[in-house]
Amino acid sequence: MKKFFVFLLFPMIMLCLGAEKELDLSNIKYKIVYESYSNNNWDIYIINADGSNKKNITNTPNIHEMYPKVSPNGKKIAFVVDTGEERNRGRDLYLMNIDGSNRRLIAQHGRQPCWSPDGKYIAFTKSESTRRFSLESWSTKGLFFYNMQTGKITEHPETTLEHLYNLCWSPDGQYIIATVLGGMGFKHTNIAIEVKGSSYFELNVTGCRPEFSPRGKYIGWGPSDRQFNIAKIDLSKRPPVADKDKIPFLYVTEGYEVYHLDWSPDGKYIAFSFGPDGEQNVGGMAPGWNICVAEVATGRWKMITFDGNHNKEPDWVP
Amino acid sequence: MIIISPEDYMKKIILLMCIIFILSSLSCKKKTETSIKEITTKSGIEMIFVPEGEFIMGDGSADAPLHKVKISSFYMDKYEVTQKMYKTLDLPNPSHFKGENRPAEMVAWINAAIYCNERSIEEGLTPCYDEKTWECNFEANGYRLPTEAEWEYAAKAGTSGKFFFAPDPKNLKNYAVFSKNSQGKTETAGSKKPNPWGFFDIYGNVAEWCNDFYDKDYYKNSPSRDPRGPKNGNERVIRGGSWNDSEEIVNSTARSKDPSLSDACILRDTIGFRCVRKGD
Repeated sequence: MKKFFVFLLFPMIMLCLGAEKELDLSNIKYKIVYESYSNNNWDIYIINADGSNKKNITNTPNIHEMYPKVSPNGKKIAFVVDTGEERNRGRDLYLMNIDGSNRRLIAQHGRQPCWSPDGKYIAFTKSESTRRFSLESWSTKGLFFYNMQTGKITEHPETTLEHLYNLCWSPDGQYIIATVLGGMGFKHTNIAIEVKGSSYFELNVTGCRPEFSPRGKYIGWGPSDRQFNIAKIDLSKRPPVADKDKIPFLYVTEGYEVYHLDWSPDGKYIAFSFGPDGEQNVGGMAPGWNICVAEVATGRWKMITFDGNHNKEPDWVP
Repeated sequence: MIIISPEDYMKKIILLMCIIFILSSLSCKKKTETSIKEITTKSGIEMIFVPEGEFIMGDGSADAPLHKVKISSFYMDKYEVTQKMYKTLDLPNPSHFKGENRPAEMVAWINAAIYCNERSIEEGLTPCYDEKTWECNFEANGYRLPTEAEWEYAAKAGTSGKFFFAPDPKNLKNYAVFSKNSQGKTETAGSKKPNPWGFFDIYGNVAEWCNDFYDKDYYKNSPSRDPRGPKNGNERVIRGGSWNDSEEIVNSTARSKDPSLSDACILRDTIGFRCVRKGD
């Protein structure tokens, strides 16, 4: 425990003292995908972790593609597509190859996809209202599973689940963690849901958007829109996260926000979105936002995109 | 022949004047009562017609100096918007304290405006809010959030001062769900007595979004006719206090504000709203 504390305290001290050294990301072997908005259109881009070799992999001027989630084997991307405008906008869940080819619809009204660790299923939620479109991340109903082999969709045994967002499947395959707002009696908190059972319980972390580290030993989340925390997590314990284990990892000054934390496949880095006060929801306008990468061991971080084109929702390519 | 002494004459004059005054007062009261009327909208929601009038806004405090305001007629929801009303429009209900007849809460200002627009569309009216800029078209015949002045005019309901009932704050428990009588959550809409014009939960239960941006100095320079708040701001006005507030907030004049215009991370289970639309 002491080691863990020192491990995370060090980057905080470094940040506070401003003793940052230039972070070298050129040796990272993984790429990152993210959503970006330009010329009135959302597309999905792929980029090296050091910011080089940016490429638009959807490139559809009249269709909005967002929220890319890469399969565990790095070959597929689940993502959402928006069509129509304003209240008549619609959001559906699609799948494509990592190079943008062979795209296909897998779930109408599907949102917030996340992959099972074995890559056999994609968990997702559905839009809550059939009357009009909502950008709100929490505006969802149910929890569903798309079977990659059969193409069939099944609903989670607990059919009262609602208002879930930011789904993240535990590396052991047993749970999905998510944020819930105004659903199942919760105000706004983070919960774990049994994948095969019907129970769910609070993680004891306030804020939103929890993400497992690759081995599932830690989670990162945003206690506010200006900070990330990291903590040890053990879903067999109650609560799964102890107060003493919650460590502030990174924060930014007032007027700026950080969101959409995602651990690199080796657990050494965290990618995230950063920019001036903006709209963090999928497809929300966030001018000036860029993708950044932080080194977990030191807390040092740097921007890897600079165009400020509403760049959000980074996801590492294994 | 009857001789009236000057003393009797004076007495009769005074008596006559008293009778005229009383009749005149009754006449005025009757006029107000007939002017305030209830309607049921196309979508079955009860509203109260508030006639054009004039009142003294504020309570003399630093951010609410007393000033005379004229208000055009408008309709206002008799109850705070309930979760059932949300469900009727098939809109996502973010409320923490679930219950069809409880007021909707955890509602960001923008989502309250969206509700107004959807209710307008449902009834074939012209929506008031531009969903790109969130500017309100006050000339449209659809639903919108009340201006701060409309809200206070309706809350005071022809009375003056902080409370519409007798000045003893102990009476508040009869009219409001607030920190001293709530069970740590909202109650069914309309569980307490209404104000003199028939509005339920105008105090407490959930604090209510207004259309105005908040500016503590706004009253000093606001127009005397239909003030609509500052042009810009980062926070919107909330009024009336909630189940979690004390009598310092739960009254006709206390001004509050909140920044949860669109950010889900800071939504509060103490904030809801009711709608208005312009008078005929």
